Order: sequence, then C-alpha cells, then structure tokens
Amino acid sequence: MNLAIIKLAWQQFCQQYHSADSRLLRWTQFLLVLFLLTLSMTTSSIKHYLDTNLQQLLGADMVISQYEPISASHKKFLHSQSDTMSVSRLINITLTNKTLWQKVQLKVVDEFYPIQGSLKTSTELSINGETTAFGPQQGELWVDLRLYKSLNLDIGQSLILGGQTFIVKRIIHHEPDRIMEGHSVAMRAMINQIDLARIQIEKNKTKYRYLLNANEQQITGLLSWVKSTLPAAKSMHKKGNHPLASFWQRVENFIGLASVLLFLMAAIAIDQAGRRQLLNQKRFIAVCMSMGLSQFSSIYMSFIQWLISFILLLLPAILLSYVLQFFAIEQMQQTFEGLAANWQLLPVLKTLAVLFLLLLTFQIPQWVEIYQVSVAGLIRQKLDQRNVIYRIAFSVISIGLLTIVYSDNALLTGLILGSLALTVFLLMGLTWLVLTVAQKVTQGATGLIPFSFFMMKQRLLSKTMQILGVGLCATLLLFTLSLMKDLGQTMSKYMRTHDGNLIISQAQKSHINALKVWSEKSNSVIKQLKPFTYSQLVKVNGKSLAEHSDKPSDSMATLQKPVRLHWTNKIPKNNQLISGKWWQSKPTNWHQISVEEEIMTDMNLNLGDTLRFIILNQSYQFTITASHEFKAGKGTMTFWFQIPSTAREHIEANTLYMGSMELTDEAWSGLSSLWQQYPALRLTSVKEITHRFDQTLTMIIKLVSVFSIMIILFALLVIAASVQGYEADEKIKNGLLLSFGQSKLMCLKLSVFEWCITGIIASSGAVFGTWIAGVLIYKSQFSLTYTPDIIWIISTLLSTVFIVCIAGLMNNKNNLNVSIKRLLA
Amino acid sequence: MSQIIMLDDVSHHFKINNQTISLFNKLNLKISAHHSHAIMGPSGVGKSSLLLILAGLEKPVSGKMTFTDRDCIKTELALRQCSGFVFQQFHLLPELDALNNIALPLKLKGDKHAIEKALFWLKQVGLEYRSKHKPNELSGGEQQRVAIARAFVTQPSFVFADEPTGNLDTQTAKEIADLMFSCAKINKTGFVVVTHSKDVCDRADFCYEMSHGKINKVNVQHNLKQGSVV
Repeated sequence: MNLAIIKLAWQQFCQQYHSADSRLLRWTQFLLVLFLLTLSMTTSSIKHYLDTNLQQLLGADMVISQYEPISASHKKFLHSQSDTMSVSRLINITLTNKTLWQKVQLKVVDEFYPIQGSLKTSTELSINGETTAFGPQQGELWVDLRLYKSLNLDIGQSLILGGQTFIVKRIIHHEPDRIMEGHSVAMRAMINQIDLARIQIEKNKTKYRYLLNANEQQITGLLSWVKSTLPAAKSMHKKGNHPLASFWQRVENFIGLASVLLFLMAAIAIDQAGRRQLLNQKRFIAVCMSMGLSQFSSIYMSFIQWLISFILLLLPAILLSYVLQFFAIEQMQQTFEGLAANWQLLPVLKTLAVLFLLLLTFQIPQWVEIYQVSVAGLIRQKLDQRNVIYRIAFSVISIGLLTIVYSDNALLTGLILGSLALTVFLLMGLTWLVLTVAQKVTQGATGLIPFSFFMMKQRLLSKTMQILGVGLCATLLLFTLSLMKDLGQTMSKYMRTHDGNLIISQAQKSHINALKVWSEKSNSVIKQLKPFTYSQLVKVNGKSLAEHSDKPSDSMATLQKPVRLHWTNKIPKNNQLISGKWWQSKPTNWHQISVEEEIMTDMNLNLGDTLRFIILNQSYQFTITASHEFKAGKGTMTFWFQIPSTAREHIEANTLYMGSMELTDEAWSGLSSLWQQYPALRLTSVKEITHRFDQTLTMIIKLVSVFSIMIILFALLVIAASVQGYEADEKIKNGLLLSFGQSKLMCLKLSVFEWCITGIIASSGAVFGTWIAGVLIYKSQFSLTYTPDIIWIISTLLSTVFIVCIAGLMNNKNNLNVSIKRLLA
Repeated sequence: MSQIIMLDDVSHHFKINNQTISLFNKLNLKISAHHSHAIMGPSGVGKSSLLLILAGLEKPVSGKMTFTDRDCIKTELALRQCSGFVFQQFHLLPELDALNNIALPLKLKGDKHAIEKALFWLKQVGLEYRSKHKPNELSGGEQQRVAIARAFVTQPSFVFADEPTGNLDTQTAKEIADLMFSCAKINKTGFVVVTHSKDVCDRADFCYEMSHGKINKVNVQHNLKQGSVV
C-alpha cells in the first residue's frame, strides 16, 4: 500500500514537474536553499579557521585581561597557580615621525614575553620574519610593517615618544597572542616595560594582560577564581571562545536577519505561485479519495510528493552552494588571512533541518484542509476563508521561528517586522480605498477605466493578495537598497554639519589648556567638550552580565570593555527623555543613572534596576531612574550612561573630556606638533572616520550587494509568481471578453491598466513602508535622521510599476495569442 | 435577409502529440438570424468546434466563414459584438455575483443601465432572488440560467449554445430549452444550439446532423416562410 502511494506521489510529481507554476516554485525554493546553505558552509569554514588558529595563536594556555592592574596578592596567587606568567600592557597612543602621524596600539612587554608560540621579527623590509626569543630591549621600539611604511621609518633611526628617544630596531611580523586582540586593524608598536616608567604618556585606559601557562585543572580553578575575585576581568583559554569568534557570531546574526527578509520574500513567492498548483493537487487527492484512499494516506501521499521535490532540489543546491562558498571564502581571505574552505557536515545538516521545517510549514495548511474538508468540498474547490487564515498563521509562525533562531538585535528585528506589518495594513487599506472610491466615482461613466475598476473591486480579495505580494517585495527591495546608499551619505554630511571636522575622542584636563592655546593660534574653534570617566559595568541587579543576559548583541559586546560615564545636571541638548525623570528628588541622591534607550532594550533593563560599575578598582552602584535617546539637530555625541554632576564628587576617577573642533585647512599640518607634545591626546578627523567608515562600508557593500542581488532575484520571482498565479483566471476573463466582442487590443489595454493600478498601489505602499522602516531604524540604530532621496525613490517606484506592467503584459500577450477555445478550455 | 453567417468549404482539425485529429472537411452551411438551428451528432464529431467557428471564436484550418449584414461583409469582431454564447461549462466569473455576471457584457459596452437590464433578465430566467449569489453558491441548472441570461442580455442578433442541457436532469433540461427558445423567439434572435437531445432538435426551426466530417439537414419546420434558409 505504502509503495503504491509512493509510486502515485512520484507520478504526480513527474506530471506537475514541467508546469509553469511548479517551475516557479522550484526556483524560489532552490534559491532560498542555495542562499542559506552557502551562508552556513561559509560560516562553518570561518569557525573552523578560528578554532584551528586559536590553538596556535593564543600565546598562552590562559589569558586574563582587564583595564586595571591586579593587586600584589592576586599576582602572588596567579604565580602559585601557574608555572610561567608574563604581564603585558596595551596603550593607545599617537606616534609621529616628522610631519607624519599615526594612531598606534603600543604593547609594553616584560622579559618573559612570549611564553608560548613564536614572536617573528626582522631587520629588513623584504624578508620574512625570524623567530625572536624575547621582546624589545630597553630603548628599543619595534613596529609592525604597516606602521613602518606609513610613518616612513628606517631601521636604526630614532623616534621621540613621550619625551624619550627610542631606536627603531625591528619590524614585527607576528605576535603569538595577536588573536587576543580580536578583529583589530590597529597599527602596532612594542617597547620594553622598563621604558614605560620613563615616558610621559596617559596610561588611564591601559589594558593589562596576564599570559599564563596552566594545565586543564589549573585553568578550571583559575576561571572560578577570576569570576569571584576579578569581576571586571575577562578570561580566555584555549578551550573557550574568543573575541573574533563572537565578532563573527554577530555578523552571522546580521546575515541571519537578512535571511529572515529573504525567507519572507520566498514565502510570498511560494504563496503566490503555489496557488494554482495547490488547486490541482487538491483535485487529484479528492479524486483519489473518492476512489477509496483514506484521509491519512492522502496526506501521506501529498507529503511524499513534497518530500520528493524537496530532496531533488537539495542535491543541485548543495553542489552549487559548495562551489559558491569557495568564491565567498576567496573574498573573505582579504580579511581572514589563511582562511580556507572547509566542509563541515553538522552545520549543513542543521541548516537543512531548519529549511526542511520551514518549507514544511507551508504545506501544513494544505494537509489541514485535506483532513477537514469532504471529498465533495475538495472537488468543488470552494474557497474556505479558514484556509487563508491558516496560510497566514503558518507563514507568521515560520518567520517568527526563523527570527528567534537568527536574531541578534531584538529591537532591529522588531522594527523591521513591525514596519512590514504596518505596510501590510496600509497596502490592504489602500487597495480597498482606491478600488472602492474609484469604482464609486466612475460608476456612472462608461468605457475601459470604469470597467477595470469595477472588475478589480469585484476581485478585491485576489487583487489584495496580489498587491500585498508585489508591495511587500517592493518594500524589502527598496529598504535594502536605500539603507546602505543613504547611510554613508547621511552620516558624513551629518557629522560635518554639526560636530566640526575634528573629534576629540579623549583628552585629559592638562590637554584642554594646550588645546585652547593651540586652537587660538591656528584659528580653530573648540565646539564642545564633555567630561567623562571610564567605567566597567560588572553587575546588573546583583548578577554578572553573563548571568543577566545570554543573548549576544552589539551592546553586550561593547559592555565587556570599559565604557564612558558622563555626568551632567541638565539633559543634554541632543538628548531627549524617553522614560523616568531626569534626576529625581534631592541632588544628594547621586546614585541615579540614565541609560540610552537602545541599551535598555538590548540588555533588557528597566527603570529601578541597579547597575554596578568598577571605576579605578572601586565599586559604585547606581539605580536607573531615566532613559534617554538621541535627538537630531544638536551634535551626535550621546553617552550610553549619564549620572548627576553631584555624583562626581563621590567618585574617585580621572576626568577625561570628549568633544569636537572645527579646524581651518591650514591648521591640519600643525596637529603633529601638538601630538608630539601630548601623545595620549586622541584626536580623530572626520575625514579619517569617513575613511574608516568607507573601508568598513566596502566590506559591507560586498555583502549587501550579494544580498541585494538575491533580493532582486526574489523580487522578480514574486512578480512572476503574482502574474503566473492568476494566469488561469486571466485566461478565462480574456476568453469571455473576446467572446463578448471585445478586441485583443482592448484586452491588452485592460490588462495594462489593471497591472498599472496594481503596481502603483503596491509601490506607494512600498515607499511608505520604506519610509516607516527608515525613520524608525535609522534613528534608533544609527542615530541619524532619515532623509530619503525623492528622485531615487520615484525612479525605483516607476521601475517597479514598469516591471510589473511588462510582466503582466507579456503574460497576457501570450494568452491572447491562442484561440478563444483554448482560453476557455 | 438581414444578417447571415456562411461557411464555405470549411475544414478543421487539431493536433495532439503530433497526431492530427480531423473533425470535418469542406463543410458548407448558412445560418440566418431570426431562426433557431440545432446541430446534433455523436461525441467527438466536431459540433462544438463548428459552433465556435460559426460564432467567430475560432478560425477554421481552411475554408472561409463570412458574416454579412444587409449584404455587407463584416468582420469576426463585428459578429462577436452582436452575438452571445452559452458555454457548456457556463464560464461565469467566480468573483462576480449572478447579477454582475449578467451585466458584464453590457458594462463592457458602456451601457449605463447595465444593472437594470441585468435584473430584468435575471427575472426572465427566474432567479431574481439569487441576484447576490456567486456562481459557486448556485446549482448547475441555476448557473446555466445565468449563462443564458448573460447571452441574451445585450439583445444580440445571434446566440450560440453549446450543449446547454447536457448536464441537467430531464425536467430542468426542458425548462432551460423552453427558456432559450422563447427568449430567442421574443427577441427575434438567431439561435444556434449544439445538442444531443432529440427534443431540443425538434423544437428548432432547422436541425442538422453531423457525422463522418459531414453535415446534413434533417428537417425543415412547416411554419417557416419559404426561402428563409438554405
């Protein structure tokens, strides 16, 4: 019996294989499977690369790092637990050579460095590095290749750093603990720790790193010791994850969100294209059931038929995605040196399982229908409203599941899905309104237009579904394409307008006077200065960050490091209060804090929650009494955490400043003298930020371009599916119109007009949807005001209408080329 | 003689899977308005194809179909504009209710009184209480009545009906036949019907039998004026 059903399912599959609907469905599912599989294979290759490299590159069995030095007693404990220990420090400075300057990460190492792996250096540019047993000697400065070139240095030359002279001795090729830096592209230099005491540089944000040799048992003991004794410290070991992996996890999650969008498009295409095929399948099953097949067997047969189609599309998709991942890895090799394509079965199987479940979800309403409806009902193919609800419900469930699995940023995902939901309501409302009003207005008139409106109004349900399909797809298309385009432009424009052209990212009190003097001399203007100190968030409501939230997010990743804590009595002009009250009751209550709204959402914080910070080894607890967010128009600098000015008196910390300046063109060349005098002064030109932004953007653009191509492909599939799915209805309509004495030209005109109206309503909805998404997401995610390019939007809108009309017209023209008899057959 | 449809040496066949199925060969026929014509014959002989060719809905493979109005030759489009068709499968639009299905050809012609006229015809076929019902809420006989009303609503010169009573029970088939012939008579419409029913054939002014690719006149009714048909 079972074999007979499988044979029957195979026969039905073969018969439907060459139909246009089936072809369209296959292509949609194939592209979706291909994209998700390629994504999965690429990421598993990268993870494998990271795991392998971690074993070789960690530079120690365990590493403990934090922004404060550990006490002598703690150090003693570490010595007791480890055979070898090396302490190194990382400090951000600016290094100058004549008129050239570069921001550099200075590593200060002791005599034990490195304790594992090999430090490779050279004394010439062209040769590969040789293994060096120790770090730099006293008075020596080692630099990496990029810094060497960018500062135009020579081996043996002298360089002044913090008032002391150093000799450039070697070029660094590889540091064994390099991977600990995470995905940093900072230029690097190295000195001996004896020299640190001699030089005058600001050591406030020094990162201390303790490299330890330890066995597994010692590592376990040390991990629990760090957790209980050094809450602000971060510990890494060979068996655990590392920053680069978590960085990639976030990128993967972002792409996962993109997958949600693609899946949404695929869902629309499958829904539209599957409409007719579903009817045929239902008819076939009804006939089988009338011949004695049980309901269970019918569902089983339908499942087998679907399974055959799924398995057959998997094979080419797996092969092609295997090839595609090689191309993707090749592109990634520019960022991850030594990365190679690596076949990992488990992630592929996991993705296949997710895909299997997702695509299966679309079939469930059909099986529910077979289970519930009588044979007569199936044969009559009466439209059951409940089925529409099932279809929508299962689509929502599957998209929801996918979102939960992939989502990295709940706020961003919520905003995107919320915007789409609003767009759906708008499209539905707009369709009803336009068609109802147009039909009423043209009721008394005669001719093509009134008739078209009449027909469209009568077909309101199917028209709405069609418009929803095209409209949602156009929204996603427009949003994806416009987001990256607008982001770069808006950001640079905005920063130049409001913040001057030089950002003071960190200055000490002593720097401020020097800056004032220098700005007067160079005709520059200090636009704003805001005080802050670095603080490490360690506990939320008494729980460590890891215990409080196990969801990865950008906020969580940033909070692993010390963040800026700003104090102010009045709410800053570029901020607005979202909830709570800005400094309640008496100023003596200084334990109050306001948290930026997105951090509140990402970290799941509420008013009344307590936050514990470590500042200069002291612990301070604050209660959240307010939340704020960025307000456009008065500068972009927004602090995540703000406390009352009165709190400053109770906190023992170094006051640092952040701000911006407007420099004249002539003033730029004078900056190097200022840095030479104050190497710890951190100034960043907006030009530099734009440059960095562009670099990041180039990488993202590559990613987005691939994603855009996928979105465009899916958009075309949705449009084709929307046209194709209603082809049979159009055929009968055209056949009837011709039999009523209408000409083919008239039928074509009617069709163009209908598709034009469909395209216009769908595109208008899409523009609105994109606008809503833009306003919400730009503001909350990028602190920018959404300023859409009207001409660009109108041209995209017109292109969509044009493509929709052409697709509809082509389809109708093909229809009209056959006889009326065949149209009505 | 006002309006005439004439077939001259018309042959028709179609191809399925590289196999040619021949229907009829060098067939001649003349149909005039104001009279009823019935075409009988076994299944697969090409009756429906002949009807579609007569109605200008399909082109013959060879031969010529001519439509003349007061001795002027008119186009197929002109013929379609002054005729109605009752399809075997009804072909009512599922989104439209009974009233709007009937009003459809009038609306296409821009008739401002489409709904009133459609309502009149809905009454004529006895379905005024079903005006808001969609095709899937009507029985087969009711759908056929709506299709008949839609064919007659424009007061065409010709109405073509393809086995309109084929799927109906005897009583309903008789009622439908009565309806069509009376509508044709009242409106002086040329009525051409393809049927298997001897009863329907007997009620027509002219009856033809198709077999082996040929058509033969079976009888001429006595109440016709001389010379009105060939």
